[in-house]
Amino acid sequence: MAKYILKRIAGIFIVLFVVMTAAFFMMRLMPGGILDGVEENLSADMRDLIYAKYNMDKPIWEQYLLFLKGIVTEWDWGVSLKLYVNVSVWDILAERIPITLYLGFLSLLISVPIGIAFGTLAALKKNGIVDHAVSFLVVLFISIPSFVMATGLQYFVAYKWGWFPLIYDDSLPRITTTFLPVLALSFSPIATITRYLRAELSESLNSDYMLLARTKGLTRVQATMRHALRNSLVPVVNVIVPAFISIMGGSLVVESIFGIPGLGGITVRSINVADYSVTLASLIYYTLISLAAILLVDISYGLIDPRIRMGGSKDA
Amino acid sequence: MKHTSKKRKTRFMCMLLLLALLLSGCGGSPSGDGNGDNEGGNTSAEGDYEGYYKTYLTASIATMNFLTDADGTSTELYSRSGLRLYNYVPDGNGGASLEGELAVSDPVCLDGDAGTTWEITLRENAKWQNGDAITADDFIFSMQTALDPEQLYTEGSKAANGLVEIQNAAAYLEQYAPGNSPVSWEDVGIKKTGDYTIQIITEYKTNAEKIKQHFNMPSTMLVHQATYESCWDSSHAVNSYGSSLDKYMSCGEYILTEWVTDSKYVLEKNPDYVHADLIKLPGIVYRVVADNNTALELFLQGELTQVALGSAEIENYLQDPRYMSDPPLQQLNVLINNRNTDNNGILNNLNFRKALFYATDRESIAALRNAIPATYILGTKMIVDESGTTFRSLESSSAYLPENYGYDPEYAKECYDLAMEECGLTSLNLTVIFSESSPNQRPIAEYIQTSWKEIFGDSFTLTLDPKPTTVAYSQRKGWTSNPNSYELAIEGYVPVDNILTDALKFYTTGYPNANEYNNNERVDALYQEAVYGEQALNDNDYLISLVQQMEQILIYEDYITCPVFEIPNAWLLDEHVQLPVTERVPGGGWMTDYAEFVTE
Amino acid sequence: MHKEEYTGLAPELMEIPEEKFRLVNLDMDESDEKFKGKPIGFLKDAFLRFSKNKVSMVALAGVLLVIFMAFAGPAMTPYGYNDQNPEEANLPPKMPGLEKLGILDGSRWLTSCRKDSLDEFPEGSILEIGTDVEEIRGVEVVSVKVDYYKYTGVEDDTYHYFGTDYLGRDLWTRLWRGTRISLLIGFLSAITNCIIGIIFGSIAGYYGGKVDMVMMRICEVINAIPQIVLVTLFILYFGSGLVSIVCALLVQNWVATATLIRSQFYRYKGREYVLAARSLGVTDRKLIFVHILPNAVGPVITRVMTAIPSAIFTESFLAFLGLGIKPPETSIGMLLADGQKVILTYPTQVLFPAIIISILMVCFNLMSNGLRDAFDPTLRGA
Repeated sequence: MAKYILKRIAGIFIVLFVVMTAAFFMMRLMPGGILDGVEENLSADMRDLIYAKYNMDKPIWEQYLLFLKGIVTEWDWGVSLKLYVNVSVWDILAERIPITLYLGFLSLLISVPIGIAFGTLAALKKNGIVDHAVSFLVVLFISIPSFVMATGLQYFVAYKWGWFPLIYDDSLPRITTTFLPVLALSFSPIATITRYLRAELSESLNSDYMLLARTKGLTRVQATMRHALRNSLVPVVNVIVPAFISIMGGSLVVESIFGIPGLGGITVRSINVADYSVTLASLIYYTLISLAAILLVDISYGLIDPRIRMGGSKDA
Repeated sequence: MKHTSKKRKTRFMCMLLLLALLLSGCGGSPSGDGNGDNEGGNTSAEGDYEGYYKTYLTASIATMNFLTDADGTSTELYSRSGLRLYNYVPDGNGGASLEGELAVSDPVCLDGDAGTTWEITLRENAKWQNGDAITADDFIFSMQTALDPEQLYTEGSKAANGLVEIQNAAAYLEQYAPGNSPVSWEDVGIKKTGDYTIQIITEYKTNAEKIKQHFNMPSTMLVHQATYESCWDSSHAVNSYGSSLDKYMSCGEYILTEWVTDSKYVLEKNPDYVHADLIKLPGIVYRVVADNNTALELFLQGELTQVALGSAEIENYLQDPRYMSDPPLQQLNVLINNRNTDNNGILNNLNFRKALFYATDRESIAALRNAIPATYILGTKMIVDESGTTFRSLESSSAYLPENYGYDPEYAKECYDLAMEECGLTSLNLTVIFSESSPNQRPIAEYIQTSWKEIFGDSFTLTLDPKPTTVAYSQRKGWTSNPNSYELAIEGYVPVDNILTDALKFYTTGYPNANEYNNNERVDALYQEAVYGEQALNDNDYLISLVQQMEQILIYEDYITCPVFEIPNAWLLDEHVQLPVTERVPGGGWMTDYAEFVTE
Repeated sequence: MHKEEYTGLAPELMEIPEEKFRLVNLDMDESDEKFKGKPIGFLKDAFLRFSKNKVSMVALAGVLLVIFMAFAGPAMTPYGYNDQNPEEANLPPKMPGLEKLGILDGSRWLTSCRKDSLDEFPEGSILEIGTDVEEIRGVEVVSVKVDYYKYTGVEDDTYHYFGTDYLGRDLWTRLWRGTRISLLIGFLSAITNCIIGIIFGSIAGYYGGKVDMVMMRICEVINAIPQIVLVTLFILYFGSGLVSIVCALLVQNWVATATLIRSQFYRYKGREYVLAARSLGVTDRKLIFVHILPNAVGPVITRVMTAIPSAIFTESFLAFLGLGIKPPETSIGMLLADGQKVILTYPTQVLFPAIIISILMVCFNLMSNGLRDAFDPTLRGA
């Protein structure tokens, strides 16, 4: 098992490296330079001098090697060129990552148990009123796009009824001020998890071992909890990863509407103003997070379902 | 078997939970952003800034260093916490004028008629936030930093020759460019002649007013030497002055006391400010609110003292007593790349450009966005003198403007047919690029797509190509290296409102970063005369007539670009605020930093 | 159990002589019962099961209704989807029948009207005057409900069922036209997603080992990049437009399907029937597609059914960020994005697109529930 984990971690680094290289070249080849949008008063000399200062006049390969050297020797991810001129990219990211992670994890933390609960409920009372009601409710919440949902929540709950603050305010306790954004982010994962668990669980409920469990004398609920649930968790665990990734993505919109100083906002802004260094670092960070999530999930496969040994050949 | 796997599962779940809690606990406390702000004294922890003016920014600020601030988001913040030689001050009678802030009085000309050597005396009681006295050394250091040839601050070139050309300043800044010779600081026309006196030497003759305006620019503000020098990185290549609260030193009307990244910035009154008796507010709070709707909701709830109105809301609040309207900041034109060689160079055909101009129903398009239809280059915000008379309100300025806002479909069709014949084309397909995030450019593009086609007939098609802002920008400027980089585009320049010639400099030959190719000798000659000529310097009416001639040639002879409308600039102001000025001061705005709250 | 304790039978039956017993089935022909019904195929069986599920049928009807309206809707009004009419900009919705009931009657509440300017309003346009009078800076301000059509001086018989947008284009027509585009993007994306994902996932899942390792690394690399960044970069490079967006949606989405198929394969490839089939000499390809894959069909159908609305969703998200399809074409996403910007002033502009996309999502999801049940082999014959 440990060997497997080490192999996977090595794999992660390789993937990161590939992503970093690809992203670096893609960004440099993108149209638009670092001085676009700046006051149109610069003389040609000034412009050339500025480019030379940031090594932009050298060929791409050289720039890439300099970049790598910077990271390895000094942990220098470069300096932001447009958004926060002369500020180290690492500092920019380090300030914003905690709040985004907080939102993401909190949202995942509440949506996983709720999703599992709803899914189990729906599968147990399948095709009954409860099942349809749960499905309908859950689907209704995710059928409205996140930005409309977020705006709506803000308008009704925060503005009209005044239960929660409109935007992020660091002088209020963090839980109050992030309640609405976390709620807005959680609807989608709850729905996905409920849906998948219901599908998987209802399939498992028809299996033979369930029949055996019932004849043994276990109640329906007991049999479900002890047997069917564990089998159904595998695809659900598989779905947690995209759910988490979608939370990270959805946080872009939610962060901007609720004014949360997180990573999503800065990523979008850096793409829009072509601030390469920040975009690159941000990209690598997101990649790292999702790869780590995938690794965690794969490890948990083995824990939850002993039948599955990842990497096994077709001759089982 | 079951036991062990169950145990592993529970252990694993516990690990996950712990990890999550740990990570979320990382940012547990409100001030846990590790920024060195919120030092102990949490007077603001209650979150209720009683009596403070509450406003907002639509984006987080980049830096407090005005030399590197490219997009102007933090302009208000550093303008109000820094010192300049000259700044707008309310006169107590509902008006305001450009008076000495760090300087005691107007600059004095030392060489009489030559008008190139000027002496300025500084106040002796000015202080930094930490108590250090401000002397001429600070000013010299600030200018040296702005013009640092190794740092190459983008705002530095403005400090060198924005309104007046300081002797050798630009040369000093660009001395390391290939082909330029080194220039030492002693050669630059900024000299210290006493502990509190300085001398400025300009290349050309100028007058006191221009010097005052030049040193009213943010790029000439003061930089604190000790703080700046402590902000160099290990290789002395990059300076991070202004990137956080402890890397910045205030000395102006207000002091920056709080900085919560991407979220909130607080200014508090500076009791040591030179005009401290005129400042009535205890402080100003800036929140970061990117979404327009949220800002409006906050205002209606009483959490914001002012809010900007988008085009849609203007109609709704037009009659509201809190409605304030300012002259438009920017005008949008349809740019025509006359160097484009596709389609037999039809974009260079005068008749075609005339056709485009007269086919645009400006009035209707402007009505859609509550904007002002424009048939000119100089917008309604441009003023001719300190009294605030606008250029456009002069009768002579509207004499050459066409009727019906330049909308004449039959004439447009005639010109179009003529142009197509001259270029030997039977059908035409053009593409217009615009910034997809701009709420005003898309309606213009969509409107002209249908209306031009209606007027010109089926032989004409206009394709829309929305692009992200930076891509559109580089495409627009790219015609210098690739003549066919774009065909039509929608954008506008943003000139300074109290300098008439600033709006026309974009259309002179050889202006870097122009949107299209300009090569009208008469315009160039008039421009030289207006900016450098002696008569223009002394006789304002003469200057106005020069500017009018230039505008007339550019639009009504060359049809170099197709103006559409001026973007409205309206906002709501809380009814309890009393402004220090009764009318908007050109160059100074409404001076909300000197406002006060009055209770009913 | 002792004879005495068994009290079930009457005493006289306890002493029956042997001759009275006769074997009954000695001459009977024993054979299996004939099947009562005809054999039906997998698909027909699935469809039968599906149609019995009332909710799924309603959902299917909903989807079909939306698709029908997407094509027939624009024909119901005299307006084209790009007929700009600046004088009729931003009108609230007005429908001929419902206006008598008081909803959708073209009225709007104008806040912040000065009390003394009320007589300047056009004839007959004021419907109701609000009771709260505020005094701001010494001026009395009140809310007024106006018939917005009369207020802006539009001709009497104009009806816009869903109102108009900022250029005066009829929103009913635009919305249905946009639905067409959105559905197109959704279907294209989901189908291609499905095909690529199945092929990739089944190969990776079946062969395992090195092949699996390499393929999964590729998947990880692609999946690791956050969707919004990847799509934005894609569109920045290739320009916006229908094809770009479909490709951009494709680039990442097939990975989820592939991962799903792969994990299903891992579950089922160890089963005995696979071993049996292989020992009978069935080729790999047939094994994958005929034997193992149908078991995986359940979650895949669910996935495809949710992929369609999720593609529409992502597309609307892109439109919100400004990366939508080229105007003047529109999609539900672009209408939502435009409407969201003015939600405080003109809330109806976002209401109708939101309703349509909700209906689509709800129906597709409920349908996928039913389809999953329908295609579940363990329920066959139930």
